[in-house]
Amino acid sequence: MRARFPLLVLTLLTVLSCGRDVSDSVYSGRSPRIFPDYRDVTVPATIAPLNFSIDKAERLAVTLTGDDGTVLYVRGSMARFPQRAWRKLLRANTGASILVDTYEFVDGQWFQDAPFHIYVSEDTIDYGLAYRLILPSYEGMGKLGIYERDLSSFRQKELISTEEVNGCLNCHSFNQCDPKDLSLHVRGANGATLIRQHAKLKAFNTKTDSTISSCVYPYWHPSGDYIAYSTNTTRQGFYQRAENVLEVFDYASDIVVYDIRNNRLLSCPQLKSDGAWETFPAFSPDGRTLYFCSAEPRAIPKQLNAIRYNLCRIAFDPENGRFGDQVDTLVLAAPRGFSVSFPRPSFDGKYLMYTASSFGNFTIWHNDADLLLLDLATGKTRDLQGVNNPDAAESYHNWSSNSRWFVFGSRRDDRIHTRAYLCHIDADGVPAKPFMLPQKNPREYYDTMLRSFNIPEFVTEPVPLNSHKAWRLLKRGKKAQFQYSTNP
Amino acid sequence: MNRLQRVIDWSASLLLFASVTLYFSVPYGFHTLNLEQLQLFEGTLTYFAEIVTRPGGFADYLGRFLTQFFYQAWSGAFILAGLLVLIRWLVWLLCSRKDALTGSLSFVPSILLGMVMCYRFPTVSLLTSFSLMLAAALAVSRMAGTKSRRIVALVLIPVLYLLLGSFSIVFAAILAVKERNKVFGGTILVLALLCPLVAWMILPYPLGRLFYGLNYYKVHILMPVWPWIAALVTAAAIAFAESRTAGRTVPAWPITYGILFVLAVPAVLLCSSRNDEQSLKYNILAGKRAWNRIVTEATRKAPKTYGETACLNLALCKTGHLGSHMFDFLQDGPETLLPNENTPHHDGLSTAEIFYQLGMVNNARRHCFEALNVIPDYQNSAAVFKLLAEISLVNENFEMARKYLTSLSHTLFYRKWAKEQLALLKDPAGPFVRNEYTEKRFERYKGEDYIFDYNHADVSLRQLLSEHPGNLTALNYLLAWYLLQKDLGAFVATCPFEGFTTAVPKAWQEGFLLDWNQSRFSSEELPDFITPANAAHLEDFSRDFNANVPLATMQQRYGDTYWFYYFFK
Repeated sequence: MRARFPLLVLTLLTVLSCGRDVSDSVYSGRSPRIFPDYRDVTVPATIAPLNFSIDKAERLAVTLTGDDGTVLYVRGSMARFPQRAWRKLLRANTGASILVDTYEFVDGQWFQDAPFHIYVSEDTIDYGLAYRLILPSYEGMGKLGIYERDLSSFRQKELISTEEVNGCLNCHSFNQCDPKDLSLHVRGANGATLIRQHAKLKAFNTKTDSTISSCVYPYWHPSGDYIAYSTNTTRQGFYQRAENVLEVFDYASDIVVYDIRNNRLLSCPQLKSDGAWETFPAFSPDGRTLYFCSAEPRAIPKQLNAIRYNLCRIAFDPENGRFGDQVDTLVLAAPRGFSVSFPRPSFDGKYLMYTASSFGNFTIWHNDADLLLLDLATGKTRDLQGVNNPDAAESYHNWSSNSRWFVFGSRRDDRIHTRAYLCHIDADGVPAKPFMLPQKNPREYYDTMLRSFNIPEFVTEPVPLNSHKAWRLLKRGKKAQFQYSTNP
Repeated sequence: MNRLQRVIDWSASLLLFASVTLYFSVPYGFHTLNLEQLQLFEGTLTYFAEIVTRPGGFADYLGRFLTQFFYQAWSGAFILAGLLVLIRWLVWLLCSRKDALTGSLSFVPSILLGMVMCYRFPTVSLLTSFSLMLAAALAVSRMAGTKSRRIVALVLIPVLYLLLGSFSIVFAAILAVKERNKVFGGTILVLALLCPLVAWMILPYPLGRLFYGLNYYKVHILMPVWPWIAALVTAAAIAFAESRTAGRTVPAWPITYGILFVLAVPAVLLCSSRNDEQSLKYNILAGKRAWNRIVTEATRKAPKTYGETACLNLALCKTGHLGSHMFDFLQDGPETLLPNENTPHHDGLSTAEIFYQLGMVNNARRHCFEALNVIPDYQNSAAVFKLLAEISLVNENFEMARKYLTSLSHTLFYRKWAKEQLALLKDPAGPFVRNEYTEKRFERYKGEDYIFDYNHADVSLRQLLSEHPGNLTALNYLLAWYLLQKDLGAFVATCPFEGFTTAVPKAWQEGFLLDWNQSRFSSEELPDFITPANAAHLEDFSRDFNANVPLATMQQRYGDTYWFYYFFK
């Protein structure tokens, strides 16, 4: 009994101290070091609760006070907000802000941190995200799948994965966030490009005698009648220093446009020249311009660091599938010592976001990769202040259907895994502070999720992809052959 | 059953237990250890929820829980033996008539499942699922009241499918046999067959896997048929026991049991792979940094594959014997020194270990990721996480190190180590306290970055050495690389012959002598670091070589020399 007494007292003290009211707290004045960093972020009114934790705090007490006076109070080992109350709070404060007061219980004492805000935007966001979850592996693939995440909840659904499909699932693409139109390339013995349109999923062999490889990076034409693809001869190599991991590079690349209605691949000498490597095609929202990146070929690996891509565009006539004669260079990056990749025009036609890095095109492994915004009206590029992290790669960005949000991948969390960040951008192209994709228990989720969020894309509704059907199509072996047309 | 029959039956069970324990802990012990290497069991609610929500998830969780004890071969073997004997015992209890035939038949499922456990990628979940299903069948079959028993059985079918997986079909078959009612039998079997179908409509798994059992074998495209033959035999044995009429003669107990065990031994041996066991031995010992043990094992039985020799070369290097003993064993080009992903029989973790020991931590990380990638059922590996945590600590990526260590701190056998490292991380100066990591950090390459090329690994080793001349592992590997590449000029130019405080290692002397022999006049005096015995041995070799002595004789006389490698490999 005597031995148990101190234990009893200790337990009692612990319970009492933890239960002590936060009104006894000491004001620390420090900005709380919450994970994920949701301080002063702008969120859509339908976003899932921004649960967070503070690593060194034994317990937390958090009060959310909306501008309308609604209060939400939670306490526990982390800030976990009930979904219904959270939704109500955000709905009531759309276009306004929520004040967040955090109290940390550390070493037997409550501390009150400096408050911060969460701004609730009036701009709506799409239903969800679709992304690939992939191990940070280089040659093999392990468990790899494409997933869909409902942004208003924590629900994630596996769309297709290597649990069923025996092959590497490559780039997926939707038509301006509409998941009804889908292009997905699958590599391996049963590989093919799956294209879903008009509720029909078909498998294609996209390699032709006239193209250097199967179709790789896709981008839908807004009409749904064409898909632009790059064709790339890609290799990878591994760096020796700890700061860098690997480099993915092309020995050759071209751009082709697939005419869905007539089953033919279109191109032109400007997009398929030996004197340049063209890649990352993207149609303008009106469908009359094709943006792409182009670099002067260099000797690999000797001149790897000198491969720099410019941002170019060429006219495209969707009526007959003809390209313009002239290639315009929008961003002459190479002479200025940087390289452009992943051009993504906003769907309102005002901006084009791209990734800039010191060289190369596979920027997700470049620590210096940052997102830049090109104003298409003025031709001026601006740095996305507050969005980029100087020490980690930002890449794989995509716009929401209303062009008021963008999602991007960043390795700022641990330098190895890409995480999805969402960011509001106003009508003048001014971005807010981005926020990490919310999770029910973010610390635990991001600590144990050792796969990267690859190519996150907004989707306006659940993706209608049946993995059983897709695998049957791939296994059956009958794939329609892309036909290359020299004369559109 | 009389007393003697009982004794025979108990003895047979004991024999099964003893032989399985012995087999999986001694001659097949690395196979047992390998099962633990292919998983990372975390004692967290999230891990439990992640597994248990799939069909067969509960049995899988239990299987993984038990697999963590395979950290020691003997405890893994003990668990395997226990489960196999339990399965036999449950089948036996389900047989209503106890005679020699049903007795020996009841051993067959355990033997068949034991055969599966001899394959490269079995799961313990197969055994937990099978035994739990039998236990459920036994419990339900012993319930009083026909109506309630049948209702419980029908209700249990989907529940068992969710908890134990596809063996719920066997549960249905056993109940159908025991109930002897066609309507009930048909209903329960149809219900059991419907479960995987319904799961297929909801879940993104192929129908074949949902019928076979998601967690019964690690490789999804090569699923052995034995578990389902075991299931069939179980149902057949019970049906046989139910249908037999009294008074029919059966063979004597010793005869049936004797035949059974005589057949079981070659069946188990046929499913076992001695080559796999040998490969696993080297890989696992390299992962555990048991250098002396590797050398001892190699002396006992020489490595055969590239991967095995690569582990041995590392062990020789770490024990200071690479230069003196590397050609005592089969060498077959530079890939036996630095395997890559295309090298036959290479193993990601042991290859990662080679690069880690060299100080080429980025390559080590790359091979760790590859080691994770090839785990067929996509689990993590505690052994790989441990090395990744070390690599992250060396690379000063403390956030990543914390993640790996946190996962390891939720395990039973890696927890202590992980917590010690985590404690280091909590102190801002901790990661910089002088220890293995800081030394490795110091030894990393810091010059201009470039892309590693396997065909020119000597360039990387040379650059590493130019910054850290004290990196003896890198120096030995570079010298061995030159020898295996037959680049004698580079070897002689690199080897610090005069710097050895003890005798120059035999292989280095042999490389020097060969170069000397090929490029100098024989009248020139050999340097002091060449022992007369080695010089005389080369003369013998040259004479025999010029006399076209048969290869077998050359191998017998000079198989342990660099010269033999140089001219005949």
